[in-house]
Amino acid sequence: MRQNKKRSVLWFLVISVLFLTSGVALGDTYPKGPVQLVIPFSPGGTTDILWRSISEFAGKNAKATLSLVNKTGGGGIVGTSFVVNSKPDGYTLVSANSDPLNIAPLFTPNTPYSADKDLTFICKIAVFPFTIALRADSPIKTLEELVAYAKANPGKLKAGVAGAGTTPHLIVEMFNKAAGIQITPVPFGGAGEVVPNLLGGHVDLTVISIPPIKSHFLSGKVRVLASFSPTRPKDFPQIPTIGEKGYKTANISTGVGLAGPKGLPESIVKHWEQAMDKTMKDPKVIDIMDKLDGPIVDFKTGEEYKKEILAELEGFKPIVASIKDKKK
Amino acid sequence: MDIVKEVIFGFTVALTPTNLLYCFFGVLIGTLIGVLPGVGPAAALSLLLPVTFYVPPVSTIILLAGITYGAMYGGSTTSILVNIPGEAASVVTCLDGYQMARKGRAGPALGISAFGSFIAGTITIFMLILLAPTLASMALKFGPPEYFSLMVLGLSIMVYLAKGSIINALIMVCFGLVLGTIGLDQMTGMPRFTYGINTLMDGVGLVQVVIGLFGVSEVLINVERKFKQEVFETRVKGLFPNREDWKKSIGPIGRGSLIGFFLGVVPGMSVVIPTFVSYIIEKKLSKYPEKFGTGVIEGVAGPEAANNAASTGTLVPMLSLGIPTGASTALLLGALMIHGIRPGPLLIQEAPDVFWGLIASLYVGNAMLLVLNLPLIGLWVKILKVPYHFLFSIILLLCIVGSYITNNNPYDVVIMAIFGLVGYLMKKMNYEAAPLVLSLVLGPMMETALRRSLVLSDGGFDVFFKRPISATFLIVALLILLSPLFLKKKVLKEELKSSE
Amino acid sequence: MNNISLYGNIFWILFSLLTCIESYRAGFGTITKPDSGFFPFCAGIVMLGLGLTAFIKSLGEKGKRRGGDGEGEPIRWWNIPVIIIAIILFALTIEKSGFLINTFLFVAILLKVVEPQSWKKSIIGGLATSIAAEVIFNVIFRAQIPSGILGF
Repeated sequence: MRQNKKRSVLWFLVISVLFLTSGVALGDTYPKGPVQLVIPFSPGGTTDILWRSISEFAGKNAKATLSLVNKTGGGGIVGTSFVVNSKPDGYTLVSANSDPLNIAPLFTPNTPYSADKDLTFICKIAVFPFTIALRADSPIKTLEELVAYAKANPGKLKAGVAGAGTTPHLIVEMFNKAAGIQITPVPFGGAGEVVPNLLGGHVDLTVISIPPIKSHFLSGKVRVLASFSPTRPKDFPQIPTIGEKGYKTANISTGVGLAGPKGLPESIVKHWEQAMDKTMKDPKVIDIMDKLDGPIVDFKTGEEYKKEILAELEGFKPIVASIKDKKK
Repeated sequence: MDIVKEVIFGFTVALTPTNLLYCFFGVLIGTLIGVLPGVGPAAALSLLLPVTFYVPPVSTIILLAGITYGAMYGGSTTSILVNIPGEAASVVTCLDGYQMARKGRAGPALGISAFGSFIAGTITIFMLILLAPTLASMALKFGPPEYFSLMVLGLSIMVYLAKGSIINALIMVCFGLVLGTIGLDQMTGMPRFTYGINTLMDGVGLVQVVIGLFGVSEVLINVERKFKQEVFETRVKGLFPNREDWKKSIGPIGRGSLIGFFLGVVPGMSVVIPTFVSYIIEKKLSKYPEKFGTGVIEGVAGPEAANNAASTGTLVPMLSLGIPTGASTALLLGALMIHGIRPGPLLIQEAPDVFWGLIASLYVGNAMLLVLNLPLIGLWVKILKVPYHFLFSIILLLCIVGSYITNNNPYDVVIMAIFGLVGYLMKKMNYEAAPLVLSLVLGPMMETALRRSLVLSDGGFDVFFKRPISATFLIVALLILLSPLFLKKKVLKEELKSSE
Repeated sequence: MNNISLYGNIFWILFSLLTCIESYRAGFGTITKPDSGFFPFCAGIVMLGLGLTAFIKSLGEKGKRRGGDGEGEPIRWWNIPVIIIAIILFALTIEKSGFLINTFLFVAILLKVVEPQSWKKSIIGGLATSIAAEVIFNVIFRAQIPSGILGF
């Protein structure tokens, strides 16, 4: 205990000196100042939670101060296009979620960027699956009951989703199609904004990843009906998968990675790729990811991630087109 | 009595010498950074966050609490001294704070702002302890329709803020709403009114608009004529609020604390709105509403208490639901999560030392702010003794740097310059800037709330009247908008009576 | 001074008309499913109404002089464009020439032009301010302000 105290006094002094002198000490090498990482979703959502949990490790490995900024709206388009339009100097990066890159452009005509041409991909770090959740006091107790209720009341159920053109939005539409029902997706600025609206009963259900609702699930306020993943969640084996329930079509997850505007110098790409690789292999980070119960580490290089995103984009095209057709 | 025990436990955690040192460091850095316009508490926090990695959780929170309060107060300092609101939350402080400074009363203005913040902190921390669980469930009652109606109510009380023509104030409100729609559409991500200008993609920056409308335009007005006399009264009348100041301020501080706290609890309300509400209520309650805007201390005390109280209020949904409602609380959340602590309904049971340590450290941060800043007032006031023909260039430089460093985008500075000119013309034509700023803050929230509500209700506008909270807001808004008609009649009658 | 508010009102009427047209082009949607242009269109319509009301009112009013105007020294209107242009030039050149040089020129020129000082005073003022600002912003606060051709 006492040693602890001494240590923290020491740290305090070291830190104060570091802070006051670092401006002078840093040379010409990148990064010279704080690096802004744009999170294109609201605080408290899975992407936000993920980055906030690992940003210190990433920053340490990249020898940079990562400053996280939430820019929400348009299913991640607002934040992503902010970075697309910024200078490729390595001081503005974006959490490259797959949905604003390969789903949102299919729903939103004239998306102000293209995943193929306007971004420099650095790496992919993780992937996270979704669940279907509602308030614990809802009369609907199982997925079968949900489908039955939705069939009896078409269009009445409202599902909060992280934004128009996000993975949860597509999942709702695909599930609608597979089950022959009509649940209306209501777009918010991110999962962090969906949670209070679910708890307050303003939306009937939500398609969401586990981290933002975990504590409400554990405290018994939220019920999870099914998981949109190939296997049951590791820490919550009581949650059935959507495949077990007989709907195989809606099994998609979101990839998270790091990217910058187009024309980002190769040296900066390598700098971050190596730093993130090291970060995602850190046992402490693996432990944190385990505790989050959502994101699964899935490290890929920028090139690989880009290929994956573009391949998915082609795959989603006919699905979204058929959803749009049906609406008409 | 459990609570008392817990609170004492919290203070024993917070009050170790090391933690006090962290707190002092946090407040000092926070104040210095906050004085820089454009760098609000959130930016200050994120700059220092990496430091917290090496520090135990409670010390982290203490450091961050110190920075938050320090930066908030630092922002008010520039509002009072040179009419540059460091961030939108201190716009209202400009209205009377700067006028007080011009009359040689910068000291009392800075003093009441520090004391007001401290008192608000004290009141709200007790409210946080006692009311957090109840309030959190209340905040959940706010769905999209309630937000929309609340925004409508917020804009209609602008009528009371107007010094001159109500029509002019409402035109400014609409102008702000239109400006707020520039950029990518929040609902669909489609660009609107950007005309291919990249800087506008992210919308017209609030910081740039605010610095332009207040800081730059004030300089323009001042240099318009040859200085016959100094802009600032150089004979400084007292460094601290006197007895009469206190008598006038204590009510506004109390009300400001309550307003700030309760509005802060509502997710997404931001720290800006409570300051406006507090100012307007003080103006409405005052015996001399016409003097607001000319340097009355109530106009500084209320809003300053409100913005401090609101930042405590925002902790309610963060701690009890795990929902961060703004940039500052999101950073606090991040700092906790680094240490494996996840705020939410289970926080008090899982990590009592963090929860009570946080509450106690907020209070310590507040007290430290007062201790550190009272001696600084004398120093700040001296700045105003610099002759204006020299000072104006430094003020402009501060404006430029402040609007540049938010995004490191030179075109942001151009936007600021344009709004400086707009603000100058507005002053010439008797349009007020404050309603414009408020509606620029509210507009985007109001629009998404409206469109989300309509999706929820399948396009039925009745949703706003069917839900009790929303309906109440709308009725109050209507009464407020109609009240000038009745008021005018009353005034006319009184005038007639007096002339008889 | 009725003219000034008259012009103001005409400006708002034109501005609100433009807003309405542009909003309509952005896509109005339907009243039950509003699109991007719906909200600004509504704001524009309300503004148009307010502008027209104010316009009619200002026509009716007799020339009322605003207190304070026309008192004291004559207006030095040229100071306004000088300052605005100086700020814009500062912004547009900062990435090339750097913070230190720009600050020096900005302060020195404004001191010389706006409330004319001697050259000596202007240059000393510019030097002192620019060095102090460089130390405060770039060294202490580590703000990412371009250093430009001087390279530090």
